[in-house]
Amino acid sequence: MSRAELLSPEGLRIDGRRPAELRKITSTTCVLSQADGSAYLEHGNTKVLAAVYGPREARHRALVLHDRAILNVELNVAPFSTGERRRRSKNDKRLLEMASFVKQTFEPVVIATLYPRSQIDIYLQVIQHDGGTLQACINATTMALIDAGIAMTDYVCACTAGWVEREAAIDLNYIEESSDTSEVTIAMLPKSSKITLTQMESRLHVDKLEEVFRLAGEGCKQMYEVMDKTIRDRAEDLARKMAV
Amino acid sequence: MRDTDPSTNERDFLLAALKDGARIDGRKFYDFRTLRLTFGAEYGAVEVQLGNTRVLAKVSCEVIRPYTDKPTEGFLMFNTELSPMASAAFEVGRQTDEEVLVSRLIEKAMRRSRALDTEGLCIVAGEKVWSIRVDIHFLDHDGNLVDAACIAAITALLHFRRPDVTVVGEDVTIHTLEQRNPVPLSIHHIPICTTFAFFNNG
Repeated sequence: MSRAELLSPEGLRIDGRRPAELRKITSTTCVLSQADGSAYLEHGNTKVLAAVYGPREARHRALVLHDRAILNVELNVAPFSTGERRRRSKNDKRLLEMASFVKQTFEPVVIATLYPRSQIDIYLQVIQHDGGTLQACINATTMALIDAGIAMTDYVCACTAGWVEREAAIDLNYIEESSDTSEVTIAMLPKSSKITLTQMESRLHVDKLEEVFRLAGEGCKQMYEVMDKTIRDRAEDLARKMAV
Repeated sequence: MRDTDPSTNERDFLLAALKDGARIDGRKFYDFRTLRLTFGAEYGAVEVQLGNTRVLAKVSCEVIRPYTDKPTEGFLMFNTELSPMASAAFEVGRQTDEEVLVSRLIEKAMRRSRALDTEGLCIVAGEKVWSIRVDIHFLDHDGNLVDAACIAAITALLHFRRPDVTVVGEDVTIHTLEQRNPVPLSIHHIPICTTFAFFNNG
């Protein structure tokens, strides 16, 4: 593969964005009829669908906790989501790891003690994969959980950041991810600025770490604005319909 | 079988002791447990003991065909086995969350960070490359499996010697250990894992 120029001399990335610019975000909630809560999120070309069922009776009695709900996350990546059609096995370690990260991200945020002896299921489907799958999954899950009416202490907003050639950049796409640069994903609670997930691939020099983290934090705040607007618009819409 | 959580008494004692600055085994906050490395008789076999946690790592190699789109790169594969011998919480055959995370972390630390030079494993481009396989077995789980496993994996890779190879034109001769001294792998850097935990919200 020829070395594509990830950062042009003028400071534009491979898709024409500035380093600190997010991709275009489209989000809708309540897209599925059977799920208790659902959300569809697009980060540029990365498209993720999230469905939440719960709180409902737990499948396996053995796993039930007497004082809180258990979270179950299943992640599915469609074979047509990448450039080449590739079928991933259900036990693919990468997918299991990502699902485990989503679960760990939401465990401290969802107020599970309100729903003892029950289970909250989160199903994620990646329809198109153009970089930033984990961040899209976390953001879609937040919106789906809010749509389902499950109590949470705060929104969870996620954003990726990395070091592209000479500068730190946020929201890396597939081409930037596949190159040798490192990628940091951060999930943050915007009101308290607390971080629930930090994940990094590849190598990054410790001096650059702070800048990348700071940029990812700012990206999360921007995500929060967009997600909040979608949720509030939808709530206003519902309130108007109910008032008639 | 799920691992039993510590009792309320134990948990309260632990948290109260931490508030006073003491850990239950007498260490300071930033102290590691004693690390002991035992090397096996063969190259590439090492057992790591971090306190009571024991991890065994063994490296083996074989010659195979490379992928068609990466003809000059060798293979580096990690296989982790969390057997019920280590802890009653693990089950044979079923992949628990913890096992997936530990195994992915080792893969990321070693493979994505390019600790081992995979291009140096090439014998004949497009036809024969070395495939290095690291098997990690957890013998005793007393906490901090990730750090112990990482140390075991990288030590085993540093200790391992692969058979020497001579390539004359199309002819490839793999020398046995008697004929020629085996050659070490080319490791660029040594990744070390450190795990932190925050108690009482910081």
